[in-house]
Amino acid sequence: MVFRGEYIMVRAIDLLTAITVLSLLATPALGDDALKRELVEQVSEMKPPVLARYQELDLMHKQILITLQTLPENQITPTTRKWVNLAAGQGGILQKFDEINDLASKGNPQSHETALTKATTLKSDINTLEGYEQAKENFITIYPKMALIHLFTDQGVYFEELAENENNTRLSIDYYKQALIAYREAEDLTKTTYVDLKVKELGSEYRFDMEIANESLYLGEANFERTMRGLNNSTSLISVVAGILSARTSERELTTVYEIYVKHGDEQASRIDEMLVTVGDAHTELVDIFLIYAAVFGALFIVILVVALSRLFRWTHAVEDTVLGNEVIG
Amino acid sequence: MRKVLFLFVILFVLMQTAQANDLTVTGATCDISLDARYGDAKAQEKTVTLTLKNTRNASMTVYEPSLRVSESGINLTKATSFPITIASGASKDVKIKVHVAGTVKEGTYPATADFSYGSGTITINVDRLVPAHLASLPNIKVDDPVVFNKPRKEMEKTGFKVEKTFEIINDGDLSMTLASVAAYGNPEAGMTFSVKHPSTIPEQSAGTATVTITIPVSASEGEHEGKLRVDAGKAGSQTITVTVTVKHAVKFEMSSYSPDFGRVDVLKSVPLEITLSEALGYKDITSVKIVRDESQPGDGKDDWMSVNLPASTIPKGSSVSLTFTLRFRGETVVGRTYTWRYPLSHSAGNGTIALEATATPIDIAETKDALQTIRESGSPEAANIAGKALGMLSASAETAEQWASVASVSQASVTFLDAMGQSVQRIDEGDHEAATDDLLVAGIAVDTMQKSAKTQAQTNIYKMSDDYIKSILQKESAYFEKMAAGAEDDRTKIIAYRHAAITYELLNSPDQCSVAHELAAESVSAYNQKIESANNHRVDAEDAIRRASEDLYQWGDVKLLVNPFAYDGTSDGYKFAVNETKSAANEYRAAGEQDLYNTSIDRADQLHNHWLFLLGQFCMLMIGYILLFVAAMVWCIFAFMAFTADSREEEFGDVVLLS
Repeated sequence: MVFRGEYIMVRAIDLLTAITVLSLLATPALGDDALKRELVEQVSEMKPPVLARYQELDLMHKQILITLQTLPENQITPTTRKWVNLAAGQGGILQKFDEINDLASKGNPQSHETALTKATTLKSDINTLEGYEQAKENFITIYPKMALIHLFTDQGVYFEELAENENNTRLSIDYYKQALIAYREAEDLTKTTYVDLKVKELGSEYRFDMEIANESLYLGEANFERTMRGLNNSTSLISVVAGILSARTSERELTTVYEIYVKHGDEQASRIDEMLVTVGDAHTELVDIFLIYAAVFGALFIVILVVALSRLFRWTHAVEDTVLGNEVIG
Repeated sequence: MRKVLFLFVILFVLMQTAQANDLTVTGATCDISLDARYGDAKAQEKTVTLTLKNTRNASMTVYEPSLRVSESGINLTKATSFPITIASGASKDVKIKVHVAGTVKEGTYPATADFSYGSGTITINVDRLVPAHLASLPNIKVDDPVVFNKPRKEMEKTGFKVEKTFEIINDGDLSMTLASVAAYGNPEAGMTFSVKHPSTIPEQSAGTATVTITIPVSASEGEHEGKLRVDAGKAGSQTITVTVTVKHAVKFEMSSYSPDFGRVDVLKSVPLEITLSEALGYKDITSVKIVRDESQPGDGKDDWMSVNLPASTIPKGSSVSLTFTLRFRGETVVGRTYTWRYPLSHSAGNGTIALEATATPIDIAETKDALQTIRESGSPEAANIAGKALGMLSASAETAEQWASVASVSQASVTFLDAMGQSVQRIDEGDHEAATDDLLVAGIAVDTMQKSAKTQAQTNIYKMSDDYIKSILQKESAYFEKMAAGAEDDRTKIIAYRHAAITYELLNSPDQCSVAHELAAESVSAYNQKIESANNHRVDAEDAIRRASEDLYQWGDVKLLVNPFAYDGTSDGYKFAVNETKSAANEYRAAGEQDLYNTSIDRADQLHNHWLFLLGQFCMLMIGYILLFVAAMVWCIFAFMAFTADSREEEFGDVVLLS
């Protein structure tokens, strides 16, 4: 009888265990129709233009959609909502890609720069997405990575072209730096190397030229002021002469500055050009004043010279006459 | 006294009665014809004979009778002299003259001849012959309503016709000619009458006429009247009312439609338009209403099927579009067939519209098209896989789970085949590196297939795809291994190892993959080091050249070394630059940047050549300087010698002169 009781108890325990195991296996449905509808439709409607631009994102979109449609309802849970929102929700990866693509589609380098910054931050979103098992198991995370690499390459090409066509060296260097960031993110070795070299070369050349330009500018401006002073004190011959000499120096130095600024597309070139015109005019004016002075002094000198020479000639004749007289007498 | 008198009177009457019964008067009939056909009738006179029979046992004296007739135009006068005596049981004829005036109307007029012992009746039949005369006609009413039951357009030209036969009676004694029988005035609702009738009707006869009433299609529902005038000329005319009742019929028609939407992608809107129309064109169909069946609604959700019935009335002869738009929502179980039932009620009857549709995954049609394209234009392997996938897609999947796997595998097949097509093309073009990206996508697609494959057909597709990609991957991994083994520079190694790592990963060889990754990382480190150094060398070289150029003389576009004191600086600068550039070139070559190596080597040669030019130009200039100096010296010597000679000659002259 005791044996029978134990047997019944064992069977009861077995039954309870079986029920417990079965109830654990048959996890109650966490998801529902409404959530599935919401997610499927949300993803379906999320068709930003960037999907056409980057094939990988289109594949990602399709993969999310097919995953959601084929997931059993009990597997569509709030966690599913989280990763779906991260990937294809408002402010999700697809939308961010679209915003970046929008920015990158504009002709404005500033927009591209912003796009690049945003694309860099997008990496963290992709990493977060990788943390969701459901997304990873369904191969959703690899696509945005690939798309991001393409995006960076595109931005690198854009900034490189922009830099090559830019006359302003400082801007060109900035663009090359952006291209360098983009190519580095895109893991394009050759392009990274090439652009890095361009950044360094251009930077070095620019610094060198600017040193010369700064020195010449200093001298040019100092002489420019002296020239102006000479022009203002035209009653003083010394000031005029000094002004003429300063104008020549200023013109030479400012021309150097102008050439460097033009070479590097510096907007100050126009200011230097105006100074050059001014100093050229001042030089001409000073030369005119100097010629007046020279004419006056020349005329005076000629008069004195004529008088002196005539007296000298008379004296010479007198001496010759004296010598001749002496010889005749002698 | 009074009583006596009363009794006497009674006795007298009784006696009279007894006496009257003694004389039997045989009545007579007098037929008189008055002919008024051609004008006023003339008075007619006839004599009738009454036979008096004495039934008494004794003779009887009969006195002049009293003659009475009610018609004023008829006068009776005796033609026999009275009194007369009639023997018992004998009879005697008496003659009475009947005078009928021309104005007396036709008819039978009784007249009475009262004799002392009896009375007789004379029946006067006046037959008045009159001209033709149209007898009174009754109004015509078409009892059965005229139902407008043929399409309005069809009947627009003819209208609806109804015939009614009636009789026109000539109660005159001359033949009656019917001048016309036609509509009088404007019949209501635009009706027209057309009457067939005999042209003449003999005297005292009736003619049968048939009126055809044409009712235009525009006639409204209800009773409509029209006047018909029968003109028989002198025989008279009459206007009778013709009444017709119109009843509009309606005919509801529904365009043919397929109740089965077939396979519909989730979230794709598929419209089904059914045209509800009223076919006759006389009367609107009202109260058109469609609602979901409450008792048997079907299992499709309400908000998946939108019903648009823009009006509750179908205008006569027109139509209304009833549009069902099916859009399976996100929660739809793909592969399942859903049904909807909608009762349609309206004033002309009721009906039921039953619809059904099978949900298929989103964009499955697009997937099918893509597979079709690949099958037609892809490589044999791709075409084979596409064909299998198409077959799987076209076969009917029963359960939602089966559909899920069908959708997943077919879409993965498209992705796989697209990626494989591109990778094979790139491999053929020699672009193995770009091909790896496509192989990566293809690999993901194969993994998806493996995960989703449920049926044998799906497993076959997966296996075929797996074999296809593996054959390519093995070739590619071998290619990259070979590339890495033969690589002399870092860049090639990096590329080779990186791509080899991807191919190993796709071939599911984790060990080889991690080894390749490590080797790639090592190469990246070496590469970066070399590139950093090389770039710095290049920059230093260019910087040195710029500084050296500072001492050069700009002559037009050419820079020349004219200052002997700048020779050393320039020489050192150029030599340094050439060496740095060459160093950079070597590092670029070691790193694998062939283009930069070539550029650097070219630049080094260019700098070297420039230095040689400067050196040559400088040497020429120096020779020029020396030649100029020597020439100046010679000139000075000659000048000095000439001066000395002149001085001597002058001194000699002075001496000669003074001496």
